[in-house]
Amino acid sequence: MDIALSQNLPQLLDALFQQIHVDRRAGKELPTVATVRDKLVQNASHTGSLHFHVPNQPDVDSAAALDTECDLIALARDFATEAIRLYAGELIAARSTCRNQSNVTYRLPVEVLSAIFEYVECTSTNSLANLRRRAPLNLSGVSRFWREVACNTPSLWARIDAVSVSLAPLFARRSMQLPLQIELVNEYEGKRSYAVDAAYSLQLTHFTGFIRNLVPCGNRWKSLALQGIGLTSLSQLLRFRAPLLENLYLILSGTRISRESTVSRPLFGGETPHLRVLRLVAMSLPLRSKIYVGLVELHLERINYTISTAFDLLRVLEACPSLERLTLRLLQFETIWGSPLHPSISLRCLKHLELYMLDHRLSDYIISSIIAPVSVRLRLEQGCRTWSSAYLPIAIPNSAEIGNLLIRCRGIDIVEIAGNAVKDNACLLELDFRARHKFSCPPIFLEHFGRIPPFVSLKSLAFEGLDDTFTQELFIALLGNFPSIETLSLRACPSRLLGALASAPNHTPCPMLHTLQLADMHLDESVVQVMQTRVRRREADESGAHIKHVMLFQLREEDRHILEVLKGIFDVVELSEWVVFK
Amino acid sequence: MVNLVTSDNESFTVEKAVASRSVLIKNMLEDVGESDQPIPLPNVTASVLKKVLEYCDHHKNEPMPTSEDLAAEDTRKRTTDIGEWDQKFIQVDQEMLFEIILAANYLDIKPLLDVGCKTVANMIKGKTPEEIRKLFNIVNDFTPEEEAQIKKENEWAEDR
Repeated sequence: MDIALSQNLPQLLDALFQQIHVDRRAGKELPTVATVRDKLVQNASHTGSLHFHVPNQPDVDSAAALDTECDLIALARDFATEAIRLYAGELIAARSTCRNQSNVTYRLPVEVLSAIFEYVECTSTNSLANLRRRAPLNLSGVSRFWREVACNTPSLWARIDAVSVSLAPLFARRSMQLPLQIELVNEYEGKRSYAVDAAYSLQLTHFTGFIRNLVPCGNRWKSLALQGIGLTSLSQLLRFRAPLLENLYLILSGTRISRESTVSRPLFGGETPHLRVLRLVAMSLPLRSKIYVGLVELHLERINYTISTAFDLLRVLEACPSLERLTLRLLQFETIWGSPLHPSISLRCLKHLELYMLDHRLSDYIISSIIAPVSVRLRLEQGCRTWSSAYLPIAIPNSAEIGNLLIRCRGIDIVEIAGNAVKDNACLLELDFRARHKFSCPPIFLEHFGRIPPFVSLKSLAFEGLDDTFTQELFIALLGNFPSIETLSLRACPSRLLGALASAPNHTPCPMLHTLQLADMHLDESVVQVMQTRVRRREADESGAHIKHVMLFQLREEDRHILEVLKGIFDVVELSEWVVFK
Repeated sequence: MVNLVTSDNESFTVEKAVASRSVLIKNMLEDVGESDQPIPLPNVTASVLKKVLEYCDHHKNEPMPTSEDLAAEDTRKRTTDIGEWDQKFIQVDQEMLFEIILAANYLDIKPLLDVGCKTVANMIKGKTPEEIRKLFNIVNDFTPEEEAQIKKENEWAEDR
């Protein structure tokens, strides 16, 4: 009976709908609901269909039959309501779709709308937004047409991050066969947002489960960034081959240096033939692993190697002849270094060599073991207890290319050295030294800077912020390492240091010097006296005393009389802008 | 010089270098050779073509994107950055913006199409579906059942 009712009801409703439609087309006035009800009652009275038989005596069968009929009519009413609701819903949706046909966005070809969606998805702000405001989910919720386009643009669904990871199966399905980028970290390209950070914190405990959901499409993983899952869990989880994986970034948060892991099972079964970028932060994979072979970018940070040796690290570099970027930060090795030092590993493609807070012996070990192009950009950051325990790198592979150097002291505990290329002024060298103890003593380690290796192309040398502890002896020794400079600049330095330029009968410091630039300096008669020693040598026609130009910036008012004296000796220019070093 | 005739029968005489920013026109010119015959553009109105030609004239001396450029663009990460002049050029009402996109697509002027698409993308980004509908005057045409399905599908997104 239920089936008969559910099957017939749509027909009854359809007949009613058709009747209304026909009456309307015929121009007939439509009856009101009250009229229809009256008519129904009238017909029922006439046919007797509303006259139910109620026996005078208790009759179990009749009562049961009426109960059944009541249930059925209630069911019929529910079905009818649902059918009308569904029908009306479809009808209203169709009407809306019809209206949308004239919308400007609906006139765009599918491929153009799809391209617009791709642009929306790739913006960095998109990745920092919450799900309701980020593509592709916001796009797929606009209308049927937009949804169809969004769901059929696989590239919109190929990146899964901490915010969207709970929808990973949906993304994996809609991305079709495209390579997947999985980024379960609390930042996006170095930027953090509330949405990403909050999602990361909330989902961290579920990451293992989410990753497990994505294992079936492991053959599509192109990049994986994972934060907060230990190597033991990962080695259990990531046992499948990852033939497309190009980029792997594993990080444990915090500042702690992690001991080398003893987990021996290789990730991805040791099968990552296309891996090119590997970044491990407080996560150690054995340095003898195959995973390092053929990398173009390697970043190792906060690891204390207790089993692997520094020599193993050299072997890793040897296995990456196309390496373009090497970054090592806070690495420690407990075992002995290994083979003797000699440059033997050719890294002809190396563009960036970054060594941060390493034991100076390890830095030297790396630098002296590789053959890097002279165009490599070297960045080195060294921490030391005091300046007496600071070390300069044993070699600077790009020293011959540097034409412009700046040595800057920031307070008494930071010394920065920057060098730009002689060809295009591009930054090639950044050396930062930081002393943990703020003793007021000069950075004596600088005494040998520039001696070995020599900066043969250096034309311009600048100093900034040398304080009163910087002795003239140290300054003289330092200048002596750069005999070829033509321009010397000092800013915010003690003027007594200029005494280092004084010519003696048998010796003229910096003999090629022709331009002296001074800024934020106190000038007194002693400066004039020093300059006059070089003038005398020039007049005696001795080579190498040719200071021609003196350029001053932010000269103190009380020193203006010195300016007049200098003008009598040199070509003096007052600068409106200090652009010594960019 | 090249003579272009729009759908509303207006003629534009422009330098060949300007007209050839359109791959469609460039190919037509190559096909017909030296000819004074006007080139009909039945899908572009005069007001839109005027704007498109303004773009082509400004960029006439730039190298045409090669197929390698286009392939490389697909592989590297796309950005929605738009040049300063292009930004000012594309500051038009919504109707004109979409007309320019359609014209750029029809005339096969990829850089202009990109500018248009990026502009629309920048309008969309960071908005909820409701805000997007309001922006483009789109009617929500999902049935309640479809809405429920989407809501269920994105359940996790609702409170994030």
